[in-house]
Amino acid sequence: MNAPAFTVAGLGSRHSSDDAIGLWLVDNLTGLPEDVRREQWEDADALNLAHRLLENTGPLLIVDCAEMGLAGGAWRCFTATADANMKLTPHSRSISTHGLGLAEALAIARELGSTTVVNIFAVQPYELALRPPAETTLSEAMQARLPQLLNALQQNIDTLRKCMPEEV
Amino acid sequence: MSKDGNKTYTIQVDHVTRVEGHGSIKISTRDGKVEELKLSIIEAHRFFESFTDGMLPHEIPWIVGRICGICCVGHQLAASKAVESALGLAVSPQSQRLRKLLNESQILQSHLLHVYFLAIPDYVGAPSVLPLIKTHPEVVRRALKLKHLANEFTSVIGGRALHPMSNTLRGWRKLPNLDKLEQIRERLLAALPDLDATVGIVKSLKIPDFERETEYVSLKHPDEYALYDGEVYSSDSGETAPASDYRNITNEFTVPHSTAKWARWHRESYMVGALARVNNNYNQLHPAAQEAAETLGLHTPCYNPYMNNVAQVVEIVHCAHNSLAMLEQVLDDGLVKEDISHTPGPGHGVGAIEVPRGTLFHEFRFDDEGRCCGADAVIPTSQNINNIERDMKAFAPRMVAEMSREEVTLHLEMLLRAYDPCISCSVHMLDVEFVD
Repeated sequence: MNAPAFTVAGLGSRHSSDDAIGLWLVDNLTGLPEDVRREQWEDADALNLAHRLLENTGPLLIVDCAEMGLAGGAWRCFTATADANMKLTPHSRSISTHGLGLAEALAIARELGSTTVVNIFAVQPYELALRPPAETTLSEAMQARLPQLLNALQQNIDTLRKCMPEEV
Repeated sequence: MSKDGNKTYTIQVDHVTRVEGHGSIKISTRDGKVEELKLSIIEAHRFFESFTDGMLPHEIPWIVGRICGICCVGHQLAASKAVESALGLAVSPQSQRLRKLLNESQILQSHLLHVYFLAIPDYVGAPSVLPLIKTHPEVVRRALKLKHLANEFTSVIGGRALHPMSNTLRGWRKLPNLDKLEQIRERLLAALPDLDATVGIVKSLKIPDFERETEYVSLKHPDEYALYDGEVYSSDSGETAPASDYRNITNEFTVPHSTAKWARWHRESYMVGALARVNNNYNQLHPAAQEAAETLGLHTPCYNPYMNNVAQVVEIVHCAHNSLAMLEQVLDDGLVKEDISHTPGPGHGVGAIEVPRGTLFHEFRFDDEGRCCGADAVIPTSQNINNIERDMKAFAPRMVAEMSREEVTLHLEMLLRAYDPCISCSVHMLDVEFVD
């Protein structure tokens, strides 16, 4: 059987400057192999993200902005396994669905049987200022950083694809 | 006799969960009698009307749409209608149809979110939707699927699921893609069995037995189930009034324990929202929605506010079938790029629309240079709060007599949640009149 498609999905909002870095990087990926599928999950809330994870087949790389306590423009790539500090926190009665995020989406999908291997390419923002609709741009510092980030993302895609299972 | 034997107590729920915004409920009893019951709204003012000061007409729908992340479409459309009324701008039948589709997609999104993720947990004894993943995985799967479909429906019509940008004054800046519309039509059609299953789930829920007749207010239209257009109808008077009379309809007033204004019309309070619409316009529901109402035991007039959740399911069925019919019309007719130009100028207009939680009013005034110089918005939850507290006061004596304190707390919270309140939106600037 053929190997499952490898999906690279950008997350974020284009109206919060560097929050859109995942969307920008996925937009600007070039020269991808045929089995790599690009998707933009812009403005996806946690519930829709959980459903996308359930629908997804094959390995997945989510590209997103993340507050990691690092210097602006720094990136990390990791697998969101159950022990990777991405567990669902039991908020009990104290939450509404507005409080759910990527971690909860992953947990919901796993609980419902999703076996998708989720990798995350996370980039530390320089700024997260809201911008008017006409100014959907990254910060200047992040724009300057784009070539290095694209290169790093491309390398991670290559590495992850080499680890992909050959059969489904 | 109180179920737990303690007839003198105070229950204070400072932050009611699974509602949008912050509200608190306090009930004090002495010797089995309710001494005090207050639904307090403690959100800070948000001053959205002030943001519009000096803005040009085309900017207003996009700004005021940000009042709400759930009813963003409704606020955008109500504002579009008000501004178009102020400037005397005509809207083509094509754009009106697209707006109706956009509005119904948002109602689908919002009702599905509320019924599945916020209301159902109460009825199955779960503190939130998250424990349901283990106990009712098929229900959560269906909920996620339907919610995702509704979001994509909004996205295809409006450009994106949250705060869509395609609609503007007079029409569409960027028309929807016909192939994507066809895909949405096919997916909606394929989802109809999931809606039947939704009716089946809600039918199995035990709705609290409580009735209090009130005045039901909604838009009414001679030709269709009124969601996008119509005059304002009262079940008390049996008559309609133009939306431009909204100040004489809502009669907003303040109470000390609420930062949101309250409303009343022909009696001490009134209800807007799904139940009010179904009560007032039942005969115009799609036949499939009428069948769902029959299956769910929703017989009009229905005076049980908890049945608002059931009415939301009826409207989910209506919007799905009605949207399918409208999508077929759009696909048959095709879409053409239209002239949406306009010239800013002076004027004054009011727009009204039905959003998931009820009737929404927007009003704008423009000066000689076409700059906004007056704004007002009256949202459904601020119209409902007075009625919710009166429902609580009417039901509380029975609750106290028959239920434990925990059950009283749960039923009061459920009653508030049944209205699907958007408390954040209900708190806004008091009357604003900009003066240079």
